[in-house]
Amino acid sequence: MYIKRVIIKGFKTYRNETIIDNFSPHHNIIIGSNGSGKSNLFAAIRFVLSDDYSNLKREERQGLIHQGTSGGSSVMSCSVEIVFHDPDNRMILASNASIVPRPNNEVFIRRTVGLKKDDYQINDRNVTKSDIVRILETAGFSMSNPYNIVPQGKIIALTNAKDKERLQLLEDVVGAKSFEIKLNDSLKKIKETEFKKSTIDKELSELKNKLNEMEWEKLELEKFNKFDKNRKVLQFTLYDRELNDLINQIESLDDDYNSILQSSESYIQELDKRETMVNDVTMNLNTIGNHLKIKINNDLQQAKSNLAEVLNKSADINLKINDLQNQLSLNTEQSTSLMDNLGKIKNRISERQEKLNKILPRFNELTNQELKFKFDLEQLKQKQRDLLLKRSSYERFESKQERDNWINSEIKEQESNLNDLQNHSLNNLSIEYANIKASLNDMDVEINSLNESIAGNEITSNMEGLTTQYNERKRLYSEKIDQRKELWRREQKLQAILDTVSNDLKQSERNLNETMDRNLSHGIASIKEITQKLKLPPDSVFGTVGELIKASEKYKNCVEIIGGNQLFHIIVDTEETASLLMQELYRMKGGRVTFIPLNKIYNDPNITYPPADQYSSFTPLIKKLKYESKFEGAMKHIFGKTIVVKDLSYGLKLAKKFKLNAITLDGDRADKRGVLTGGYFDYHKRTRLESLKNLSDARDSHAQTTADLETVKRELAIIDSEIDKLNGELRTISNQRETILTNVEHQRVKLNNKKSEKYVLEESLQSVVLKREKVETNISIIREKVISYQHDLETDFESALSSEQKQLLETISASISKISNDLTVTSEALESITTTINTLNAELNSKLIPQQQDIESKISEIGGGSIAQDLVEELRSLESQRERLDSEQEEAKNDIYTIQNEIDGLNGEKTNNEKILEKANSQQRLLLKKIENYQKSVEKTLIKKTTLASRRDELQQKIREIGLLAEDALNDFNSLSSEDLLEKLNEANSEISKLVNVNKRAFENFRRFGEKQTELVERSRELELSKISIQELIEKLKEQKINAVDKTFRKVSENFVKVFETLVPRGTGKLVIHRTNQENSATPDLEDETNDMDIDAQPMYTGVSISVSFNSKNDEQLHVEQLSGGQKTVCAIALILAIQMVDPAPFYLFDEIDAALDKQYRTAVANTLKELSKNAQFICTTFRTDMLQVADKFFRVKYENKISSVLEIERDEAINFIRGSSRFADV
Amino acid sequence: TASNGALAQIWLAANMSNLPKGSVLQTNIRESAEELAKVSGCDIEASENSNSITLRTSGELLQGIVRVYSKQAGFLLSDIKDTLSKISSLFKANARVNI
Ligand SMILES: Nc1ncnc2c1ncn2[C@@H]1O[C@H](COP(=O)(O)OP(=O)(O)OP(=O)(O)O)[C@@H](O)[C@H]1O
Ligand SMILES: [Mg+2]
Repeated sequence: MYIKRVIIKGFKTYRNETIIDNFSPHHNIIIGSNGSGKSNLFAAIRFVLSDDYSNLKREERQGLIHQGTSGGSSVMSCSVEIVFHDPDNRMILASNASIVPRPNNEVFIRRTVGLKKDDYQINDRNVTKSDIVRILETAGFSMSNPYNIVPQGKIIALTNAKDKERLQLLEDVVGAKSFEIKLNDSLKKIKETEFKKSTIDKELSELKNKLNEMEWEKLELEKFNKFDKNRKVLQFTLYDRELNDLINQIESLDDDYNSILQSSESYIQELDKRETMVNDVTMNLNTIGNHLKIKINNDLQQAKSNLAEVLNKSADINLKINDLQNQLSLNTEQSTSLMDNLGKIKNRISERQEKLNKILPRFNELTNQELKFKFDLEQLKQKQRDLLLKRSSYERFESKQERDNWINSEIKEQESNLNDLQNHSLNNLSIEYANIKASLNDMDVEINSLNESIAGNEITSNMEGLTTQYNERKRLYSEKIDQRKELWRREQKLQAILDTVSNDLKQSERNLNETMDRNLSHGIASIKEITQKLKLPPDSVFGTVGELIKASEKYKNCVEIIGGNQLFHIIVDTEETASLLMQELYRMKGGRVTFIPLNKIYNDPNITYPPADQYSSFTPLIKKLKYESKFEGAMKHIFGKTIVVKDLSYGLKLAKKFKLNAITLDGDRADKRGVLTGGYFDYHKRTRLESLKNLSDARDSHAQTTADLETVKRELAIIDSEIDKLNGELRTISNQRETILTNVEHQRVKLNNKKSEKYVLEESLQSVVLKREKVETNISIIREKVISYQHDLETDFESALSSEQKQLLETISASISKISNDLTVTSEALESITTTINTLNAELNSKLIPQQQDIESKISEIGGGSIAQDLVEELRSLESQRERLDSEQEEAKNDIYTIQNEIDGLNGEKTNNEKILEKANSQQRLLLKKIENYQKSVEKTLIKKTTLASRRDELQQKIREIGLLAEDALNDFNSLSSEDLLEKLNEANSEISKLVNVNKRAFENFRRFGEKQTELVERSRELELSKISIQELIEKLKEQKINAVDKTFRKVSENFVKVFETLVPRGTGKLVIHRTNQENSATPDLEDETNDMDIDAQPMYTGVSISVSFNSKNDEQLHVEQLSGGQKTVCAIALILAIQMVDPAPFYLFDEIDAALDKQYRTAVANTLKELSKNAQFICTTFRTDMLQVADKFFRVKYENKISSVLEIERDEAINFIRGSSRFADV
Repeated sequence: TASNGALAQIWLAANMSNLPKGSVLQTNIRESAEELAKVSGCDIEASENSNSITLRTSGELLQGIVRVYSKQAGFLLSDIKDTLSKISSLFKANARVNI
């Protein structure tokens, strides 16, 4: 074992991690200048391996940790690790399991010191300091007194030590000290154990006492057993008797119970019947209530509103008829008054006209006369004028010639005038006349056509057609309206029905939900929703099992019980559908349901029903169910394994034998494993099956009603659209009529215009005629003039008038005056007549005829007869309507009446039913009370029975407790009466009670604990023996110790002499051991004084001293104190090396031990070291070359930047370094 | 050096802090003591053969033996106590039964 490697970090000058590796197991030298850190390296090793650095104070720690001024960060902790190479396993690590051995037989010991911590580690595991101490101890290295580590300057301390200290050193070498400690520990322990031992003895004696007690108990027990057996037999006999009695009693009770049960059964059946009746009646009542509700709320209401409507309408129509009649009478009145007026006016007109007619011939005559007069007068006047003119002009003429000329020119002028008149004016006038005539004709044609268009056949027929169409539409319209009303009524009714049906549906759903858990019902509801939402094909989700089967009333219970919750499983076509639904359910958190996919359902093919020829009175349940064939699989799955039987025990037999489930009609069931289920089942509680059925019924009727409502709504829509269409048509027809009428009006206005135009034309025609006549008169006048002129030509020229002419003039003048007179008269007469005519005409034209026209237009406006006709017709239609309404009214009244009747009937029925219900209920109560009574008595019996049964069980238990008894012992007492038995039993009991403290397990306990005791006693004896042997051992070992110390001392002193002589060949030295009793004995001779027992009280030796002489072998010996420093050093080295020879330490650290020696000793020491280093490791520092010559390895410590580092060097380098520095030192 | 043969158990006992009960009860102290005396060279005083173990080791082994001995005594004591308590509880139970 030697130091292989030292790793220092942060320790003193070793700031950085410094690894000094590959120490030689023999002789190592460390060199370096002063203050470079050699001693620090040794201090590092001591820091780990010796006690010198234990219990560090804060300042001391700080002193150990590197104190850098430069280099920035200061080190906060230091650690030193020493790696031993330990091929012989001298260091025992085994005691601490957590330390893991390292490869290459290396052991790492590390100490780390910070300002707050101080840890030891072995192989990187934290250990305590005492662990380190122990391990080093086992390796033969004492931390407390390491004589093998010699710090700088401390070598002399060894020689200067007291004798006692040296003795201690020696004892350490032997290991006596640690032995002493262990021995003391052991002795202490033995003492402790001694105390335990005494306790053991005490306890053992107690144990013995207890065992004695136990033996006594054992005897008691034997006695007890004898009595006990007797007692048991007695008890058994008694119990047996009582038990038999009890069994009999129970049987009779059972019989009672059965009879009661049977009689109550009939009551229960009756109760059931009543119950169903009550249910029926209640249902009836419900339906009646519904009917009533519908009747009252709907039908009656409707009928009433109908009636009200009809009444309203008829009132309306009456009002209208009145109006019409009023109008009609007003109309006729008006028209008659108008007619009257017309007649009067006509009369007056005709009167006037007559007058006119009377006057007119006279007027014409007078006019003609006047005209004639005027004409005559004109002619005469012309003649007169001509004559006068002739006279005046003739007067101017001197000659005939002159006169003739003038006359001729005059004639010529007159003739041209005439020509002019004849050619131009007359022609013009004729043309104008013809024109006017033609336009008049045109006018007439137009007027005719206009007349035609106003009152022609076409228009009338058109109008008539439109009217008939209009009427037709109108009729249809009212018909449709009626239809619509009817539909409305139906819709309302259906709505009311739907409401009730919905209520029913909801009720059914609620009932169903009561029979299952919320999640499930929610789930089932969601499934419907999902099916609609996802638009799954109709044959994918079928519904719950319960909905899909039908069972007769008789088997409903069975289905209900066998089906159980499976009735709510949902049958689907495939598992895909199921998983789809499940996902959806999961997504919408829609509850939980179970699915039965038809394509995956598996049926046990091994279902065999009992062969019918061997077993009777059973039926497979599945045969009693009705369902669609595609559900066969699912149904078999649920119900296939069940048979219906009459009797449960029979069913149990069958069930076991054929691996089926059996169920009775009452719902008690037995399965193949023999488990029976049964008991009271409330048949009247709503069963799932029934609830499901009700629900589906309700759903059907709901759907039906909804569909009906839908169709009605559709029809309504159709009729609405039809009505709209009719309305449109009516509007167009009336529009057409309107346009035709306005057209006619327009034409009429045109006609009037035309007529007035024609009148104007006629007048202008008149004036043209007049003009022509005038022109013709002029022409004739001119002609006469011409004639007279020609006549004159023939006459002779006379300057004055001829007499004849004069005469003529005179006659003319006379006739002129006469005619003038006549004319005046005539004119006057004419004037008066004209005035009369004018007045008449004025009256006629400006008053009477307009009046007539006015009246006529009014009459035509009123329509004369046609309007009245219309009115009358309307009136008639209204009246017919009224009649219809009357009949409707009658009908409505009848309706109300019948409805009322029905309601009354229903009400009667209702009260009737209620009465029945009441009665049934009261009967029910009675029955219930009876049944209750029965139940009470049954309960009583049952209670009795249970008490008896429990007593029986108790007895059986007791008999069992008594256990098996010998047959003959039992027979001993059979002949005795129960009283005697009791007496005997009491005796036995009293005997037993005397033996109160009998321990029943005394036998066994005695045996067991007896064995235990022997074992324990044996062990305690063994222990005693052990103690003795240990004590012997201790004695022997003590002796051995003394021997060993002696032996070691002897050896050491021998070696000391040897070593000293090699070091100081001329001198001699020896060790002297001082004994306690032989104060000054110089010889280490000790044979017979060691067997004293008080050796451990005081030590045998007091110390070891050294005596040497340096000069001669025979010189007087000197004590160490008397030596020089160098001589002391030599002594110390000799001692250490002597010890080393006896008890080799694993390694030696010598810090400049040769510092004080002269050359001669240095060489001697070096040689000795070389010799010893074969068996031990030496690490030395030196400033001399002597030791370098004998060493194996060399290390140099460098000190740079206040940081030490170590590097391995060659021997030559080392020698050079030493030489250099020593030369340096010399200088 | 010392972990040979009969003394192996003792060696362990000396060095281990917790001794298993089984191994404690199995150890025969007398034999071990004799063996130890033999190896430490007590019996044959004169023979100073190098085989004899050091004083340090024999001290340790002695301590081991004593520890085993003490442990054995402890176990025995507790066993006896156990038995006693069992018996007395039995008595108590009986007394209760009979009353
Ligand atoms: N905690 C510390 N931190 C830093 N340096 C320190 C510390 N303690 C001591 N020193 C330094 O270490 C040096 C002493 O080193 P050491 O005693 O090892 O020298 P040496 O090589 O033995 O010299 P010599 O040949 O004189 O014996 C001193 O210079 C001192 O300042
Ligand atoms: Mg130094």
